[in-house]
Amino acid sequence: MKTWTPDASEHFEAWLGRVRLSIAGDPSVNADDVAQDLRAHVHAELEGMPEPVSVGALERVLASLGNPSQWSDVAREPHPNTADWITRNITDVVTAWQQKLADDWGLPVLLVVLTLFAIPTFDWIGAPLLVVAYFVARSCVNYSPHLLVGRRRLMIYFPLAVGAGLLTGLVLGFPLSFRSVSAEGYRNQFETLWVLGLWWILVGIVAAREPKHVRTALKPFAETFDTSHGRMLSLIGLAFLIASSVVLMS
Amino acid sequence: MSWTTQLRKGALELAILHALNGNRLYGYDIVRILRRYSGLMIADGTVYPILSRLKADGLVRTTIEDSPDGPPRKYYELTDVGRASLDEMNQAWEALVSSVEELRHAGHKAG
Repeated sequence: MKTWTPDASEHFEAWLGRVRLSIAGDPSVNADDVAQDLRAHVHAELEGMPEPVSVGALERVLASLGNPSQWSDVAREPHPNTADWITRNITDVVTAWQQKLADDWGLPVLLVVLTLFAIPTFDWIGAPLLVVAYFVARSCVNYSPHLLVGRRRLMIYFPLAVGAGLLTGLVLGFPLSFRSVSAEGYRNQFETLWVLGLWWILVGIVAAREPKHVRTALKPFAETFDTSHGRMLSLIGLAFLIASSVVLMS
Repeated sequence: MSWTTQLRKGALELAILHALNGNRLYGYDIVRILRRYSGLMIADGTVYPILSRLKADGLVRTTIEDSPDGPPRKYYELTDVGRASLDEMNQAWEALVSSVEELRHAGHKAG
């Protein structure tokens, strides 16, 4: 297989990302299938070119493939009804917006700014901003893999890390919202630990039964989460439960 | 969508099925065949979304094979449904072309 310059590789992945965006609104077309064909096409076209493949050589091949937005026009069916027409147009606007921002640092910077603004104002203003930043970042991870390079990846992961951290904290610390940890003496703290232990046992059992949902909820930070991690959480909960029971009974 | 784009869309789909009739080809092979016929494709890339849709519709099936020169290649071939559709599309195409030609000549005579 031919070697490519790092710039050419990055350029190609960015272009494939734009292709995916262009055809994302067309349910009759499988973006993975198209991307796989395009990889084979581009490599075949580059046969006979000097190594390493440069951005210039790649650009010539990509130019012969044409503008991906024209392909979807060719592939798409005419709009059958008003609801579909509205959906299609909303998708087009969102896609065009994402595509425009994806060409540079716009989207990663916007996500970091939104998240940084959301954290100190986390109430009526910050919470919705964080939710928006979180879901836009999630859509980047799913549909714009070309953005997940170098510092841009760190910037896109930032709102996801904040969101995943908050979600984990809210789920694991849920019983604390009903109990005060700070004061009311030594005995109360062990009662809290007892409730927390019981809660973690339950959460661990659910997580062990449905690890896929945990991976989805905490994407991309829990890709290796499986049943054993859920069981481990239950065991930690059991340890808390036993330890606090011993103290409370003594 | 313009009239020529609509027309080209249907024709390109038919042309792809013709290219695959009796052949097992990967995407780039199909593009190379279609490049020989002017006016079928605006750009090479237009072929791939159509191939994906033909697969989703069950008109073609695919097999992946490793390539010594690059990434794995996806080979396409017609299914029985695809062959039957090709026959139907050929009949529809011939009827359409013949009707339009007939009308064109009738119009010419009348004028």
